[in-house]
Amino acid sequence: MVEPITTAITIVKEAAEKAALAVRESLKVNEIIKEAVEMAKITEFQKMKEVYRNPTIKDITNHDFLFKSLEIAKSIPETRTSFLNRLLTDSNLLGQMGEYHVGKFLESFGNFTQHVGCVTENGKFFVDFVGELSKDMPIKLITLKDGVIKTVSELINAGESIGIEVKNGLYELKNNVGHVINQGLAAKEEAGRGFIGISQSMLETISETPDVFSKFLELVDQSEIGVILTHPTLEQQLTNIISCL
Amino acid sequence: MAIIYFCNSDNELRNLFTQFEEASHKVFEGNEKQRFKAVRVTAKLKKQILNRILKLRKDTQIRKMKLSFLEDNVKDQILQYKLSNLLMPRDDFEKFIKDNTKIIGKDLMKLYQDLLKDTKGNEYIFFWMLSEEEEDAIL
Repeated sequence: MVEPITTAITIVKEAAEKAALAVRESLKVNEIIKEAVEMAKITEFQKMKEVYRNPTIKDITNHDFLFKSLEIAKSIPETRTSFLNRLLTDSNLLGQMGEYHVGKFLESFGNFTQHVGCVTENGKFFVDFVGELSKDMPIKLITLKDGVIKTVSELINAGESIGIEVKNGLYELKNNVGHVINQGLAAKEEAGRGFIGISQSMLETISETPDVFSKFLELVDQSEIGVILTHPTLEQQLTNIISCL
Repeated sequence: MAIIYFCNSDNELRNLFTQFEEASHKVFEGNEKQRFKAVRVTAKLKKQILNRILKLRKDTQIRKMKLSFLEDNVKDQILQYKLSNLLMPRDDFEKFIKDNTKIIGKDLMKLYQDLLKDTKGNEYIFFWMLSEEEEDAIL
């Protein structure tokens, strides 16, 4: 009578060992995937060096609040904890950081003017960037189809004028949709084609929770404006800024 | 934007804040890869700090001041920075504000003194800046 129990224990033990081995293997695979993602992010980040790390005097003047705060953090180490939290939190710093990156990106496609005043039937707005393209500009258009976020690659031809309203956080896209749409419409009125420019981090969150942003994306579609990817992840932006001066 | 503040003795929050502090210094050191990694660490730690605050909310009286209140009461930008994100043992904080009495406005000084009255000797004082979205979630 003892034998069957022993056999049963052996079988259970072997099964448990096999399961443990499978778990260990799967953990190893997860680690490898994590490491690969990390490496890909670092490689992607290093490619940005040329584009984003050389602010001109005009860039520094236009983003005065951001670069002054950076100078303080560089020279006074006790302010760094606050500076880092502010860079991840403060809407003014986030706004300037986003605009700085979009400005540097657009530089290679034409001459753009920042903060162009535009009076529309919904009020007066300042469009972040308005300009005419001197060469074809590839864009990633973000759309919602059947509840899923899709990115479509398109080319805007040289000679076309565009207006871009830059966003570097999701709060307004959730809580002040009407205002963001009006800003996009002002960009369209000013330039002919109007876009809301978002970051890679924002795109990732929108893709994970499309329901939260469906109202915004539907209104974008109805208003015949577009949402495009214009700047890198928040972490990449932060490191670029810190490496600037 | 707002700054939340409270007194507490929770070790987990203290450890997270210390790690955030260390990482925020590493962001300015080493080569680009190391700085990028440090930035990613600060972003992760910030989420953990916010989650910890959410857990502490049940037993902790969390108060808030508007960022503009701090700015109106402290004209020195460097001190504004220090006072908006801080974790300090009670006695150290008392000494810190005494050392800066001349540059802290009366209204803010009263707020600090009230907070000190509510803080026990073994507790620390915590200040943390929040975005509008974080404020909606926490308060």
